[in-house]
Amino acid sequence: MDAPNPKRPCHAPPVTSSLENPCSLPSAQGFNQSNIDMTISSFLSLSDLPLFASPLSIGCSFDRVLDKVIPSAAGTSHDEFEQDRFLDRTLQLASVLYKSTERCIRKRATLKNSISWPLLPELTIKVFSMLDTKSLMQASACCTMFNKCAMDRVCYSHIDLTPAAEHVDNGVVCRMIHRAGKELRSLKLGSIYPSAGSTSLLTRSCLTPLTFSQGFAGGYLRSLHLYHLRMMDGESLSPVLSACLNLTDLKIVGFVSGRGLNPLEQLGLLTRNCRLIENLFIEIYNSAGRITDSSLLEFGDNFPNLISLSLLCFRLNDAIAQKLIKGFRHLKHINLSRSPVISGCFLRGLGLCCKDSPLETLILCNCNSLKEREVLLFLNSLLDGDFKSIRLIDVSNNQGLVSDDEGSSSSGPRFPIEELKKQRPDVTFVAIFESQSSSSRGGIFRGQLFLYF
Amino acid sequence: MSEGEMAIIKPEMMKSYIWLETADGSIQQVEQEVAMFCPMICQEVIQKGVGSSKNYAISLPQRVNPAMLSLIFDYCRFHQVPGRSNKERKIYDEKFIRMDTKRLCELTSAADSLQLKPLVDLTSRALARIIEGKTPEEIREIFHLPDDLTEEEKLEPLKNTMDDPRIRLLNRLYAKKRKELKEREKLKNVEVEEHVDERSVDDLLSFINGRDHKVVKTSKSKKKNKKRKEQKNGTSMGTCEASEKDSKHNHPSKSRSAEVVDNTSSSLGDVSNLLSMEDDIFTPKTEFEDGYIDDEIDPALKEMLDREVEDFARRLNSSWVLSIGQERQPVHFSINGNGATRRLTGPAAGHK
Repeated sequence: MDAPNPKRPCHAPPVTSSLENPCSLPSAQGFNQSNIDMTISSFLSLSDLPLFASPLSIGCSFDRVLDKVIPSAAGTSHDEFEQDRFLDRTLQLASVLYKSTERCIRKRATLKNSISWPLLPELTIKVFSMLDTKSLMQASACCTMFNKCAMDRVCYSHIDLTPAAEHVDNGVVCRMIHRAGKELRSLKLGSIYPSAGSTSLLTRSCLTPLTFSQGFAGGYLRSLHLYHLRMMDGESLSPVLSACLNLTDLKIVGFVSGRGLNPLEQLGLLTRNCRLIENLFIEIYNSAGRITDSSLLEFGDNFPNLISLSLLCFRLNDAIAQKLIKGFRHLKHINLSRSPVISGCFLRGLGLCCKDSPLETLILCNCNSLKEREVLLFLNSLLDGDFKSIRLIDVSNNQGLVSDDEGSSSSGPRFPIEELKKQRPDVTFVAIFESQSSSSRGGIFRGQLFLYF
Repeated sequence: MSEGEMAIIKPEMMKSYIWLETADGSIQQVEQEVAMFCPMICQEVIQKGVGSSKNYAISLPQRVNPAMLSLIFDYCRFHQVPGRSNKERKIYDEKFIRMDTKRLCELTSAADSLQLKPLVDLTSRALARIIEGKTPEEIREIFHLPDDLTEEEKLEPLKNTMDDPRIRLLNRLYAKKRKELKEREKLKNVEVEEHVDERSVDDLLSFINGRDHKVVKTSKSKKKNKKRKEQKNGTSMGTCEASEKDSKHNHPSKSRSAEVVDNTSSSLGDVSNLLSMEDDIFTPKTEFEDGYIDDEIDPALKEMLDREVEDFARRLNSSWVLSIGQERQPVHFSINGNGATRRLTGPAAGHK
């Protein structure tokens, strides 16, 4: 038996397969599309015959035809080559048929889905716009209809890429910002709980899509939260924040201030365009860098509308803290936790001039120099009627407050809790001092938990 | 019944009913206050005066079937009573949406066609809560969706199918034009620009036109067109002042591309795809993968597109672009005339 020439059809009885490879069309002469289509459709309609077992089955027919290729006794090397080619091509054909069938199945499924899905695309998009980013991505991988609906810009209004922090790279951020377009409102990036070994795929320029075309996307952004993006220093943040003119909420956990540089000054420079900021939360890694008065002034000028201020781990002293609170006229919430040198005497000064201050929340957690005496004075001033708006005071500290008498093992800080409850029932005072091992500091209240409401 | 007689009869008898006919022909009657809670029914009653009797029943949209209608009226009946507290309403809502997902979807659809916004919001949120946190297989199972994505499409949910190579090239074109415009401004060579404007936009349009047909077929043509475009780029030149003129290019090319794209054969695309094009247009460098979409715009979507573009142009503060937009003639470069004269009188005149 001659090995069939791959370029010409097999001259086999019509029962068996006689396929031409559509891909080799250019090289085959004299075949047109309709001939091939007819041959293929007559082949595919052969499925009436049982597929297995009986000698009439298609499986046996296939075997018969292909067995013709197996060389009998003496075959030349050229013959072998031809046979190999033939068999390879047959495999190719089988795979092309398979893929084509799969495509057809998919198309049919899509069509059926688009008919049977009860919601209009707008409604589907509306539902998707209520999903968080991760769920949105999962939904978009379900079917083509969901995929298309998930592309709508409204779904990307609030982008939260923090759950999948280790997989997010610049391209992802870029695409999402682009998809959001005019609807971009908030962006959260980074890993909220950074694990020690993981490195981020993001680079310094991950936020530059916000600056494209004169800050088109950045101008729509209202809220930006960056968590532990160590690679983003002041220089890379500067163009981004300049583009985000309408930002009202900025949170940077893990702000990298340069060594020895004044972090407040840096912040002031970075955010000088964002005059609408109402909520500012900055946590820096190391509290080095002196803070000067002039930088404070600038900082204060930048944010006339500031309502909530959190500066964690900053090396603020009491004078600066006082100026900060006095400087922002609408300030309602202040959080200066983990400031190493604050002793609390700024609270005294506040009472004198801030009887009507709008301050509602004061949080000084884990300020290791915070004196118990100052807190006491502050509470007393509350009882005198100062700070009418205050609602929450938190001075919890792992290591307890610094007390005046060294080495005293008093039963606890003597805060006037009962009077506070009576006179200012709307105030919540939180002071959790968990027990810590070791420490020779005075005034540690071991094993005692104080929580006042 | 006269007023006097009605006074003796029990209050329930005095309720007026509205007659409604669903798409399948069945006619129901509902108390008036309940039915009027739906804006769409309210509108029909007030504007057209139908619904007062069986013969003049309000015909409801197709998506509302009798079962959904009764559900909706249960909702309306509860909520239209003004005396209920917010908490009560919330509790009722929570209980109300406990049904299987298919019915929930149908209910959302029906509520939307009756324009009952609070119910639409409620059901949408319920659906969103169902989808949240689930894997694609689970979601497919719940909603009986077919698995019709290819493997690679599944692995790349962030693939931007709006990455059109023509957009990237357009971007580069714009970027180059902007640069050259700045140079031109320094030279103050206005007349040449007028001429150049026409050609450059023309190039753009024919470029888009050419691209549409070719991109659909083979990938080789991409390179061909790239070369062609680069050549044109070399000859024709820059035009606008800063960002204002971006919209000028954008707009005529948009209006043209809308028509042009009409002609290409393609699968369905959303308006949102094209709309985001105008946003994508402004990215100088992006790392999109190669790929293209086929867009088809029918007239209804074209309307939306025009509105979007006008809004966009307004945003860029160019009033003369708007006036041109209304003409919507492909080769109407009176733009240039206006633009040029405006520029002659100084930058201030160019602003709204």
